[in-house]
Amino acid sequence: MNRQQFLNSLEEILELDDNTLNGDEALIDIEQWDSLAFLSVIAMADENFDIVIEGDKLEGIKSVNDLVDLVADHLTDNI
Amino acid sequence: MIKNPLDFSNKRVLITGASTGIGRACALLLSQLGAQLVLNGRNETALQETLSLLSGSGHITAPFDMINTDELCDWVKSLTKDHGYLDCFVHCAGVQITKPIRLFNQAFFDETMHVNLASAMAIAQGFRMKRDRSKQGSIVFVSSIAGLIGQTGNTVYGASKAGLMSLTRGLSMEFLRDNIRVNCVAPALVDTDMATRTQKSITDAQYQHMLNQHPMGVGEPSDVANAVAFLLSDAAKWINSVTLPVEGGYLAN
Repeated sequence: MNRQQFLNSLEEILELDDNTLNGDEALIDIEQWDSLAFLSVIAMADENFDIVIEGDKLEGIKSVNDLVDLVADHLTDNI
Repeated sequence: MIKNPLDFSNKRVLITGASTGIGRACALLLSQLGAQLVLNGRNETALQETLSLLSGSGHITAPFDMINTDELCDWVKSLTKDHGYLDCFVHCAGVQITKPIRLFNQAFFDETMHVNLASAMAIAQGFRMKRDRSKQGSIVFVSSIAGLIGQTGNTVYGASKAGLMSLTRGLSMEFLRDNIRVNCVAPALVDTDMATRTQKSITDAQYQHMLNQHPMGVGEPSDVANAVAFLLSDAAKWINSVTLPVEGGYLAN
């Protein structure tokens, strides 16, 4: 999975239209970012990258780019 | 001489999910009560570790890939042929993945339902076919209170565990003529690897909320094993088709 595909997965979780996220968005400004989206990101990372994002780590993040950073090591286009 | 109804001497018990957690605790206790065990699990190394902790002798490991439901019945029959009749079966094998409905898909549904529910049914099928019918047989399924309550992000797991409760009722009637009792336990949060994984995937505040719902704290695997051993034993010979909550008062909360 590359960065764009990860963003597309986030869009699906957040029930946003395709290609609406670029990474700079603040999570607090995304209406659909709630506890269920939170659980969904953890499940998605587990399924796609076989990693467990610890809940407290996820609680501290502020932006979509912060989310990308959590899985950056596992993205195919990470350089 | 008084016969101890919890004595499992001369009884052979198949335990799935025996490599860790509740399954391992059941294995330890039942071996202490005199049972001969057939241990099944996905992780051979962990199964060997369980084996090394058991009391008594004559126990074996029987790792088997449960992915093909249709092969499970023949697998149980071959176990019986090679090692002798089974008297009891405990189904502890299970998977739990927290996943809200927005991430639902068939593969996720199929895996959870397969491991938690279909494999229980297929093994019960084989268990019924090859056994000494002069002795009462006993099956215990390890379900969960997730099958009795609603939990966000845990719907498929909950459905599979509610399915085990329904399976208990159906099979207990179908197996009356085979002299097999079928019962079920429904634990709340128990201190296992599965619980640790759950704890890691939520915040401290969310985990604390979960703990607060357990008036007597989190359970130990041995708490569940005690209930399983009771339902499996002759002490429960007139108890059939029940789901016993083992939850430290969770449901009264």
